[in-house]
Parts: sequence; structure tokens; C-alpha cells
Amino acid sequence: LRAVFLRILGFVILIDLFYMSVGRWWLIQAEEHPPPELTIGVETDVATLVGMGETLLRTKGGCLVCHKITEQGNERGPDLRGVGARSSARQPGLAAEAYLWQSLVEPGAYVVAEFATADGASIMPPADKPPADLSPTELKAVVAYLQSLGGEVTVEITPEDVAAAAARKQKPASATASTHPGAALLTAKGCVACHDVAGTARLVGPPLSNVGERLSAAEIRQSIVDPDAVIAPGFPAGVMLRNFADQLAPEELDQLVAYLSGEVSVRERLSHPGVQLAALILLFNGGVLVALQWASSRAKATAPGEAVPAVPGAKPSWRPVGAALVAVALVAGLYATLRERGPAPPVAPPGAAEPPAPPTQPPAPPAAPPAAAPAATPPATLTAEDGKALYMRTCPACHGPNAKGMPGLGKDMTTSEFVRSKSDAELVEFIKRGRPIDDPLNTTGVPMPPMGANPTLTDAEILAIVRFIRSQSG
Amino acid sequence: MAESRGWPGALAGVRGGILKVSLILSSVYLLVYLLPRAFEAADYRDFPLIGSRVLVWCVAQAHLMFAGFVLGVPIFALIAEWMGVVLKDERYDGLAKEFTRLLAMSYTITATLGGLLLVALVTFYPRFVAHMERVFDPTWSFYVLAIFAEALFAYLYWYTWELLRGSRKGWHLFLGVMVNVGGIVILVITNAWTGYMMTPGGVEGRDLAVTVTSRFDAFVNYAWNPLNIHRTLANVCFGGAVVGAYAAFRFLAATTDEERAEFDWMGYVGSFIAVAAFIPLPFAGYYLGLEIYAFSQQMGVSMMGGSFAQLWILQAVLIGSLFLAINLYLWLAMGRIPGGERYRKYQAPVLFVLATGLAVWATPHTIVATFAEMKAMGAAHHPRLGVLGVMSAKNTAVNLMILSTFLNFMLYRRGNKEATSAFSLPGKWIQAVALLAVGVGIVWIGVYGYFVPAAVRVGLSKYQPLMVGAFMILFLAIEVPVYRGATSLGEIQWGRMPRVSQYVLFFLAVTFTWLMGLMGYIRSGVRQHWHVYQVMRDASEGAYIPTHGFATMVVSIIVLLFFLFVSMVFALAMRSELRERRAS
Repeated sequence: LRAVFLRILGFVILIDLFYMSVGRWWLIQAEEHPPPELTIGVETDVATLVGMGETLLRTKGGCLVCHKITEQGNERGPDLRGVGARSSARQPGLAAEAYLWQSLVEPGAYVVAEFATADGASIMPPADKPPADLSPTELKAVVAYLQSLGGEVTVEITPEDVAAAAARKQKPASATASTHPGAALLTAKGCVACHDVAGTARLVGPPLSNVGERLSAAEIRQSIVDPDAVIAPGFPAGVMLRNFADQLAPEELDQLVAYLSGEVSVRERLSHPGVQLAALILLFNGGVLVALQWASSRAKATAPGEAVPAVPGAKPSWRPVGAALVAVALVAGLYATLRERGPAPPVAPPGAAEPPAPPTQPPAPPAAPPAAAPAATPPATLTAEDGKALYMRTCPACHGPNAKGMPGLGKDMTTSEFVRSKSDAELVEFIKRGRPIDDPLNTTGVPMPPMGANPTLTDAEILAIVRFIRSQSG
Repeated sequence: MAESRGWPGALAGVRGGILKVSLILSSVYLLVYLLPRAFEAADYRDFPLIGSRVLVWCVAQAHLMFAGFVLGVPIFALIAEWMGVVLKDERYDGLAKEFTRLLAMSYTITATLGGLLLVALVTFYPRFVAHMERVFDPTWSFYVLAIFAEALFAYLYWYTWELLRGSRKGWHLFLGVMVNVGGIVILVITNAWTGYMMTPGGVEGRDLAVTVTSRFDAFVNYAWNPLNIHRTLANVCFGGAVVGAYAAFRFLAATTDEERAEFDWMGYVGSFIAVAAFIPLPFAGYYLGLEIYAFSQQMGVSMMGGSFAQLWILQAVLIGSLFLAINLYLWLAMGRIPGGERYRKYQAPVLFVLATGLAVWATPHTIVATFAEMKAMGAAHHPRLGVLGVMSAKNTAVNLMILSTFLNFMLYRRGNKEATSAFSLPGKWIQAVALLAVGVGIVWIGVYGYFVPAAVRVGLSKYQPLMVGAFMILFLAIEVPVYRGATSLGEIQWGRMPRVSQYVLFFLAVTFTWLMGLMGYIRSGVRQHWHVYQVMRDASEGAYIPTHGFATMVVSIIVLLFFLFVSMVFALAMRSELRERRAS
């Protein structure tokens, strides 16, 4: 038997090596790495931008899977040689840069006839969405490269492009962040603007990172509904909005209280994987044991003198050990489940908690020629009225409901020279960065969190807030 | 597991099996619960020496192979048992029992490897697991429930084999159906996870900031149903091949003619099941490919014409080798059929078609060439060989190979028969003319493809398999009346096979396993540097496509590991049978 086994093993290894050698020696060998991270800024000169555009076209963009830029290449999409020259004449009134931009982000806009599908659509995915997922600066680099293929490069990188690209790179929440709906409400309702949830900094209000250990669920509820009923030592009264609870739906208030107090409902306990596993183990083992007991008693009743036959092959010695281990696992699972009460898991620090939604619109249109700006690139059109709603969700705790500031907290922005001296884009950038307490220009001693601690804001929404602030200054 | 006497014995055996599953799941749960707390928080952790990517790759693929085996074998075990009832032939019942005997240890190995995979993912890819948890949390409980149900029915199915006979056989068949229902439920749940990673749906946002908008769409994603069909067929095919290998091992180790006859028959049935399930597999693969293209043209193009294009050459070598091995087995098997020698003259032309077809199919479009060679050729493609590397030539080669193999099998079936019906001569003439027409038609379409645009060429490719399929149906329809009332030249002499034929069965099993490993890598690899395509990036150090040489080395190690594990299964099955024989 051993000889047979060894012969077969040798034969299997031989076949295995044959197929491996085909893969190793017959096929072309190359590694394919994720696309490189390129740093593109307003200072990037045209030649470098064109070079980066070519790199992106070959790598991250994946354009050469379908297009070609040399004699040999793929022909699933149009030949890109000379596209810089052709693109200026493709759509009357549309400049080359705008045409190329729109063809990248909205490939179905102007499909070259012979490459259209049966229903006239394009097979190309939008370049600003996955899998290419190009940022605004990367898109402009690609446009610059395409323009260089027989045309004149007119692309310029603006601060708005850089800001939009940077916002896309922000890292989402960590793997350990809570999925509790109350955790999301802390951010969505702006609590994190004044309360620290990571246990790392002192902000305007008391920290929430371990509030469940200090206060009961009822006390937390009271602090939300009537903020001045009990004031934490060392913190001023009258700062938190009195009508904050009115902005919450009843179930939202319950979720917030449950998350902060660490309360676990019966339903949550039962849906814990450890409890469910334990239940299944009990159900199946118990069911089989009951059936076995029943069968054994029947067998004894029919043949009283005959012992129940042992199971051939099963070793009785390990069964008690196995049963004991299962019991230990059950107890450990249940114990772990039941002890999971206590401080709510901290959410990630502001600014890294949730990624800002990728810009739904591309950045500001190419600087030149403005008249030929593509339809896909208008600036955000949220008004000051929209900005007011966003402001009320994010900023009033420190800057007051009319942007006139709160004593000892945020400054009056309606009369601020700083606000007046900055452009909209600069203010958007400032709000996104925030102002830490150690910033020499921080004169209040209160940190301004990045994006007002509301990382769900998009650039367009921050711009709307800026418009609202300016509208208040008359 | 071994069989036992009476209901108490059977239920005690079931209790042992359920306890084993409980132990494995409890240990996995505890490890998954405790391990993340033993390390500092991180998105990725590295496994020493081989890296976490290769570790997860090996464990996942080995788990999939065993899972494929334990889900595939019950399907044809049940069919064999049912045939035994219908044909009132105890041999089929015995065959089904032999198939099932292989499952017991395989379940344990599958569950252990699955547990290891989960532990490895939680430990080395916690961020990815957190994402999957957010999307698929409610499915975990159903999955565990399905595992318990599957184990319960599988152990009952085995331990009650002798108890539920005669008038109670229907109950046993019912248990077999339930084993397969449990297996299918497990398959469709896991396919939802795998399919979501490739073709996600039902979510908004990215990474951990993902929101489930429709759990139904996340579950029933583009790749889900094609994977269900493809994997079910592949599992049967793979199970048949491994069973064939087991029979070959038993044949080679046999000491009596009876044993050799028994396992020769089992090997033949195993390989027949493998080949029968293998024939529709390309169509299931085509469906999967279509859905991938429907989801993302770019993903489809990367798979077929981009990063993974060269691996289809290796796939051609594997499938071409399978065709050669299947035909060789049939030729060797004709030696045990009285009258089979009459068809020996057809071996040379069939071999010519197979060898030429394999050479054409395995010719790459772009060969590895030095700059000097490319300069001498005048292009990256060879002026003559390059012509063989395109779709027209390859489709023609494949269809002619399928046609030849079908004919060879029909000759094997005719082996010991002498047609005597009046329709015999005209029937065979019709078959010959149809064969000529189909052969010419396939070649004509292949040549015509070189003179039409790509879109027309792609459209033409479906006519070749349609012609082959139509020919098979026509041939079989004529074959029945031609051989009705045929005289027999003698009984098939089971067991009188040369030993080399059993190595051919092993060759089939290794090649099917290799094919499974390779296609698994391509399917998973097309996500490139995404854990979940377009939704969650893979930011780990292993987020790149390795060289084909490295990938095939990993696949070959996995195949070797699988066969080492399988040899344990074979040894335990033999021991179980020996014990059963002693007991009886």
C-alpha cells in the first residue's frame, strides 16, 4: 500500500510541476501594481502635468485596455493619437478642454459613432468613478495629456481642484468604529463640535467618551432634553442649545441615549452572534440527545438484556472533554455577550470619522476659456438659504444662530475682518482645516474642529455655509 | 465515521458528528472573538514568511476545494442511490454508499479549513471583515444554521443507510435530498458574499462608510446566479474526478479480482460523472462572463484581454490535457470490451485532431520574444503562428476536440455490440454524412472569421457549439434505432484494465483540481486592488497582481496540499470499510 501511495504521490507532484512550469516559463511574467499616488498642485508645470497625465492614462485610468496611443494597441475605443487636435472640432462651440473633460466624466455625452453600443451608449465607465476613480486634479492631468496629442494644452490646476482632490483622500472611519446608529447621530447632529468623543481633547462641553460610566441613561436623557438642569463641574452653563432635543425624532433621542449610556436592549443581546451560536449548539445537540435517549429507551424496552451498542470508531474518552469544551465556549460566549456593557466605543476623531461624500460635481470649470465650460462642471449651486440649514446643523453651538458668535466660544463672523478679507474658496479651505488650540492665530482658546466637526459636509455645502455667513454681515 | 447497528447506534453517531461541528464552530467563535483583542488595532496585519495574502489565498482555495467536493458528491450519490431503486440493482446502492463514505472526514476538513479562513480574515484583514459584516450581518446566522442542518442530515444519511432499506428506502432518499438542500443553501449564501466582492450592489458609499440601501440587491448581485450554476456543475465535475481518483487508488491497492472489478467500475462511473458535468461547464462560464461584462466592461476586458489574458493559455493546456486523458482512458477501457479492437483504427485520426487542437488552442496571441526576435518577425506577433492565437482558430480547435471526444465515447459504447437492425446501414451513413457536414461547417466558420469584422466574428462563435450540440442530438437519436436488438460480443470484463489507466484517472483528478485553482485565482484576481470592486480598496501590501509564475506556483502548492489532505480521506475511508467488513 505504501508503495502505491508513494508512486501516486510522485505522479501527482510530476503533473503539478508540469502545469506550474507552463505558468512560469511559457507565459509573460509581469507584476501589476496599484496605480502610483501622484502629487498634483497649482504649482505643477504643464510639462510635468502632461507627463503625469500619461502615467495616469497608462495605469490608474486603465485607458489602454480599450484605447491605443501607438500603432499597436487595443481598438475597443477610439484611437487617441491626434485626439488633442480632433477634440476642438468635435462639438461646435465646445473647446477641446471642455470636450475632453466631459468625455471623461460623462462618456455617453458624445460617443464616437463606430464605438457606440447597439443602443447608442458608451461602454466606458466614468473616469471620476471607480474603477478608474480619478480625482479632479488627476482628470485635469489626463485632459492635459490628451490635449498634448496634437493640440495645445490649456489646462490649469486651481486651488479648488487641489482641495477637492484632498477631500477625496480622507480616510474613512476605522474598522473598530461603532455601527450603532447613535454613533452616527453624534456626528450628524453636530454633538462632536463641542463634545470630545475620542478621549483625546478638551472641547466646549464635557467629554462623551466615558459618559456611560458617569451618568445613568436617565441622567443622559435629562442632559439632552434640559441641558442646564445639571452642569458638569468646570463647564459653563447656557452654552448648549436649549432646543437641541426638539431637533431629534423620539427614536433618535432613544438611540443617542442608548449609545452614550451603553445600554444594550434585549433584542440586541439576542442578535449577538455568540448568543445565536450558543442557541444553535444547544438546539441541535439537545435535539439529538433527546432523540438518542428516546431510541435507547425503546431499544431497551424491546430487548431488555441487550446493551446499547457502542458506536464503532467513536472514542468515548474524548466525548466528555468535547462536551466540556462546548460548555466552556457557550459560557464564554454568553459571558462575553453580557459583559459588553459600559463605555460606548469611541468613534474616530473628527475629520477622520466619515469620509466626505465624493464631490457629485466636478470642480470649478477650467479657467480658460470660461465660455466653453462643459455642462458637467458648473460650480455648486447651493444658496445662502441652503447654507443656513447646514449652518444650523453644524455651527450655532459656538457661533450662535445668526453667526454673531457666543461669549468665550466662537467669534462674531458677521463683522469679522478675517472673513471679509478671504475669498469664498479660501474660507472653504479654512473651514475644512479648522483652527487647533495651538494655532498662534487662535485667540479664543477654543479649538475650531475641521469642517466644524461635521465631516459629512461637501465642498459645495461648506460654500453654501460661507454664503449664509456673508448674507448675515449685510 | 463508521456505520453502527440500530437506531441508538445511528443516533449516537449523529451525536458525535454534531458535537464535532459544535466544537469546531465554538473554537472558531472564541478565536474570532479573542484574537482581535490580542493585537493593536490595525487595518491589516502581516503573516510571517509567506504574507497574509498568500496565507488567505491558500486556506480559502483549499477550503473551496473541499467544500466543492462535499457539496458535489451528495448530488451524484443521491442519483446513484435513486438509480439503484429504479433499476432494482444493488450495485448502484453500494456505489452510492462508497461515494458517501468519502464525505465524513471531508466534512471535518472542510469545516476546519473554513474556520481557519475566518480566523485568518479577522486577524489579518479586520477592516475588510468589518465591511462585510456591515453589509451581510443578517446572513451569518442563516449560514451557521445551514451548516448545522447540513451536518445533521449528512450524518443521518450515512448512519441510517442500513436501517432505512426496503419499504423505508424513500425516507433515506428524502434524507439525501435534504443533504443536498442544505448544501445548496450554504452554496448560495457564500456565493452572495463572493459575488458581492466582484460585482457589488445594494450599497451606497465606500469602505466602512458604506450604507446598505438594499440587502436584497447586495445578496442577489450580478455574479450571484452565474456562480450558483457554475459552482454546482463544477462541484459535481470535481467530485466525480476525486471519486475516480479514490477508485483508482483502491484499484491499484486491490488484492483480488473482485476488488479490481468493483473499483474499475467505480472509477469509470466517477470519470463519466466528471466528464458529463464538464461539458455544460463552459456555457455556465460564458454566462458568468456575460454578467461580469454587464456589470463592468472594464472588469470583463481585464479578465479576458488584459492582466489575465495570458492565463487562458494555461487554461487551454489544462483542458486540452483533459481531453487527451479522457480519450486515452476510453481507448484503454476498450481493451476490456470484447469487440472493442474493431475501433482501434480510429485512434490515430482522433489523436491527430486532439493534438493539433491543443497546439492551436495553447498558442498565445503575443508570444514571449526578445527584441531581436521581434525585429526578425517584424511585429510582436509571429507572422504565421500569431494567426493561430486568435479567436477564430481557437474556437474551431475546441469544437473539433469536443466532437472527436464525443465520437470516441460513442465508439466505446458500441464496443461489444453488433448492430443487426435493418436501419443499421442507412443510419450509419446518415451519421457519417452529418459528421462530415459538421466538421466542414466548423472549419468554414473558423476560416470565414478571419475575413469579417470583430463584431461579426464574435457573433459567429456561437454557431460552432450549436452545430456540435445539434450533431450530438442527431447522432444519439439515430444510434438508438441502429443498435436496437444488437447482438452482444461478450460482457464487459470489469477489472481487466492496465494499471496505467488508473494513473490516467489520477491525471484527470489533478488536472480538474488545478483548473479549479487557476480559475478561482482569475475570478478573485479580476478585482485587482479592490477588496470589494469599486467600493472598498485593498490598501494592503499584497494589493497587486503577481506574476503568472508566482500565481501558478501558489496554485500548484494548494493542489499538492489538497491531495495530501485527500489521501488522509482515502485512508480513513479504507479503514472504515475494512472495519465494516470485519464487523459483518
